[in-house]
Amino acid sequence: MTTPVPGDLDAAFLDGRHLDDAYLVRRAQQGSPDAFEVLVARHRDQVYRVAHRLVGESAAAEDVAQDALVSAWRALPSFRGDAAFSTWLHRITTNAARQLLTRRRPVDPLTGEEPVPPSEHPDAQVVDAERTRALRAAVRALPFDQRAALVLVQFEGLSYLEAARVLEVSEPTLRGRIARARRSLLDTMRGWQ
Amino acid sequence: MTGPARELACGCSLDDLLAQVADGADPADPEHQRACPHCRAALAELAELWAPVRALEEEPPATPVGLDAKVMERVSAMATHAWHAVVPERDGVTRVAAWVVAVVARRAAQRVEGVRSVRGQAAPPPAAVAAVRAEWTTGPTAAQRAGAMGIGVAGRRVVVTVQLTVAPGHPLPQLAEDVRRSVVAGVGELTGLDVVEVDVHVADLEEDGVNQITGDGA
Repeated sequence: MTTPVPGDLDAAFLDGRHLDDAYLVRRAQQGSPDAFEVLVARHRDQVYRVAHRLVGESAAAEDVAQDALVSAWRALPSFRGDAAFSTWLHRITTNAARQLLTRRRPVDPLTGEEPVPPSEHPDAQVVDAERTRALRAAVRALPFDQRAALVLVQFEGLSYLEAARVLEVSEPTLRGRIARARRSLLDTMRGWQ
Repeated sequence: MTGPARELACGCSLDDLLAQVADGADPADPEHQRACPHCRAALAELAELWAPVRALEEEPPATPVGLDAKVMERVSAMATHAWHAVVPERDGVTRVAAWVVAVVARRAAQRVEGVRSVRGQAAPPPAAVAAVRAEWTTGPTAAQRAGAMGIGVAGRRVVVTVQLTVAPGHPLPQLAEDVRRSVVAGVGELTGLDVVEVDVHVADLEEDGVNQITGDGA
């Protein structure tokens, strides 16, 4: 195991930015928190983004992101590198979000504050903002499995196959979940026409 | 399922068209789609309905400041409790407490001819065995710290220090080499860990239980 040492020992080398995930993962698996720190800096946005879209709220999203990254450190020895590190992180994040939502049951996404389509037509900007809120509420109201599939594919840009691997289901199952999720969102949007 | 029909008059599935719009994918049947008024109308409607979802995609939530620091604080708290060696296996993780490594190393050293005694405890104290389950959250007990003295662990790498008293008449470099080999093999075999370094301290000479140098044995 050799570190590729660049000609000039610049800042990018010292903070590990040029090192690839596979190398940093190996170092972290041997117990290097420094290597793990570089991985955290590199992947925290992805983890937080997914967490936020899954739990729909900032404080809970931060809890999920923290738990996911700490779990990743703990579980690193069992990471075998047959999937990309980011795929593996997606799985840990999804599980952390699912766990948090289960712990916090009953989760009733229908709080009664969901915006309803306006009967008249006020300011277009207000309608847009309200529609965005309604859409967010509709995403939150999806069953977790459908939401996770939708978030990974629609928002994170994973392929169907990658998302199926993250969620440990078959590709047809994943496609079915996404189709159902999209149908629900479409129905919500129809109400805003 | 209530709501509008899931199939168009031309027989195309609305789900497929929606997937096409949502994925920004090419049509499965471009010939048909170009000619079919049902498909074209549906696609136009879907594109408009789906646009707000696209807008949502483009507004990623911003990561809170200090997330890294909080994560690393929790990670460091775990990493500095290096009282476990960690062996990744196919189906999970094996953790070996450092004092267990110490015991295995001591026994391996003791098997070498010319070694009279190896310093340290001969076996982990019962209190340490009882405490090992709680160790991960509470930190090692005093007994475990003592038992693990001279053992450094990081992940699956182990550095061992052994202190020996030896019988006279054995060339020390050769003896030290034998001890090294025995410890590497013994620890590796029993725990699966990589012993990367064995420091051998020869502390005393001893013959028939009599301490030759300081005279305070027996």
